[in-house]
Amino acid sequence: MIGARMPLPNLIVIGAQKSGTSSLRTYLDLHPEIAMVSLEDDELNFFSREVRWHRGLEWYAQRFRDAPVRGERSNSYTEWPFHPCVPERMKRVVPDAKFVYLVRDPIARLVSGWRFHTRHGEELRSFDETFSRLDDNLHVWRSRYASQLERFLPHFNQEQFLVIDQADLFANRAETLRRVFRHVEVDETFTSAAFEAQDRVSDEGRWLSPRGLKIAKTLEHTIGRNALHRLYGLASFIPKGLPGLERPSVERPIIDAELHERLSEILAPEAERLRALTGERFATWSI
Amino acid sequence: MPRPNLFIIGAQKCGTSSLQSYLDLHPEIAMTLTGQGELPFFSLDKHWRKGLDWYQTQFRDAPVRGEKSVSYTYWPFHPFVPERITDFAPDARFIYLVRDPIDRAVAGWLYHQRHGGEQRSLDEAFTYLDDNVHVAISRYATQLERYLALFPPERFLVLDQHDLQHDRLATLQEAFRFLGVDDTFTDPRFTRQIQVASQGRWLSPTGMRIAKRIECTIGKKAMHRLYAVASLIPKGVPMLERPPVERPELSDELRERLAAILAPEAARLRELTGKPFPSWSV
Repeated sequence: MIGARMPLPNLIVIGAQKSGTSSLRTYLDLHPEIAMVSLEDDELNFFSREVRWHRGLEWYAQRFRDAPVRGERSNSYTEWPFHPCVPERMKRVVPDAKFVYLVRDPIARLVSGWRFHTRHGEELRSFDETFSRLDDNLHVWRSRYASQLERFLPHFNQEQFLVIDQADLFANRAETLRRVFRHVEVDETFTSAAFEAQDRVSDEGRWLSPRGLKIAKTLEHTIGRNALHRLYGLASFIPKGLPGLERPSVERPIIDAELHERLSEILAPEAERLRALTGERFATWSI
Repeated sequence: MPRPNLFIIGAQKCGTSSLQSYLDLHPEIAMTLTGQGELPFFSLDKHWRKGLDWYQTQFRDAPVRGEKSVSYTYWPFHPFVPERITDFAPDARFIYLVRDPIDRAVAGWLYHQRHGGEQRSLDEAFTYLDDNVHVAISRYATQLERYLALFPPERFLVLDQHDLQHDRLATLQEAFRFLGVDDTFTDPRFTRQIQVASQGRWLSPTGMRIAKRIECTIGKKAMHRLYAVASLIPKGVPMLERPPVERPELSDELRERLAAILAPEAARLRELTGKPFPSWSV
């Protein structure tokens, strides 16, 4: 089933959502020895989503270009238990791959995730309603970094994983990218002027009303869907200042003391375990 | 706002759409979205995120307010479904329509072949069984046990698709009694098989892409809208259609591997329900 000549990936950025993985993908793709899957195919979600997994290994292998390092990033690889079989499948298909897990302050990440889905019209619940339940909450599970990583560790060597903090990617970009280059064993002295630019800040941009979103999405489907963030580009086709197509941006929600405590109860032990697992301090985090 | 009190929780490819349509004919039962498919609210986060207020607007007032979503019995692929239902509708009743588990697994594979998602051969799709959604859906006892941990057993009615097809009236009466509605109700349409999913067209990847574009443009309600949209695709254009995938014969080896997992599941289901499921192969 697994042909020796299939160009399977040897680098997988496994998440986390809203932690800068899209920017990281862009930076890595600049390196001459690294070929990330094309933007068209970005976020293959092959090991996580059944509709992709069912396309089979040949389909997956065809997404990769030949290069010393062939990479993909899919944030849904760290959404256990919502996608329950990811590490087991990877162990079978890409047992020797290197993994990069980009993380950030777990509470800031979760707020950002909620705003992201709200902005795309997919999250219709208020912030408080969304976080009234935490045990079965995808936003919370995406911030449970230690639990996610621990799902992988029984199947791989710990050296295959590099966990980096978004704060470092922003503040010390060149040095952080060098760590990634070393991890995937490519020339770490490579640098690019584009490293200086922050690729994309997805919390910026337009807030469309449900109607505006619908028009943008129809446009997207009609002219062909590349990736979710095409929508950012497409939103710019929607004329500005037309009533009914835009809406005010959702204010950054305030986490009251009670919710903060409930979140910390789950996420602080996760952060502690991640510190123990990685030896990193994550000094800027709120927990 | 009315909350649902009936959930048809599966299984996929067991005739749940037909069952939903039959039940909806009963004057005391109001199923949501009949003929338009499903709103897998408790299983898919993209629906869950719409919130309970939105969900409740989907139901009409009636003694029995029901919905069916086959992905409510996809554990572990959609976790937390029973937990979410028990907090929202602790008095709910559940109907679980099942069939020969090996036939069902193959039917699930075939269904996804047809809708373009499943591109693996039968043998490739069933190389590994432990993380296989087609197998997981046929693990009826495991699925049911997830619910039984949270709800009392008398809330569940497990029906065999074989009985719904061969003894429809008696099977529907069993469902009506279970739901506490008038079980003498009958309808001429009970004698007809309402929906046969295999009646639709087989589209090529190009045909599928065009159908999906049309679907997205005119608004997507549910996956099987695609059947209707597919009828807009002109017939006889070779590049838009493809030959139907025939239901493949299982090799003895694969049948044996499936039975090793699914026979104990069937045995547990017989124990849980007291039903013999005599027509099954395991």
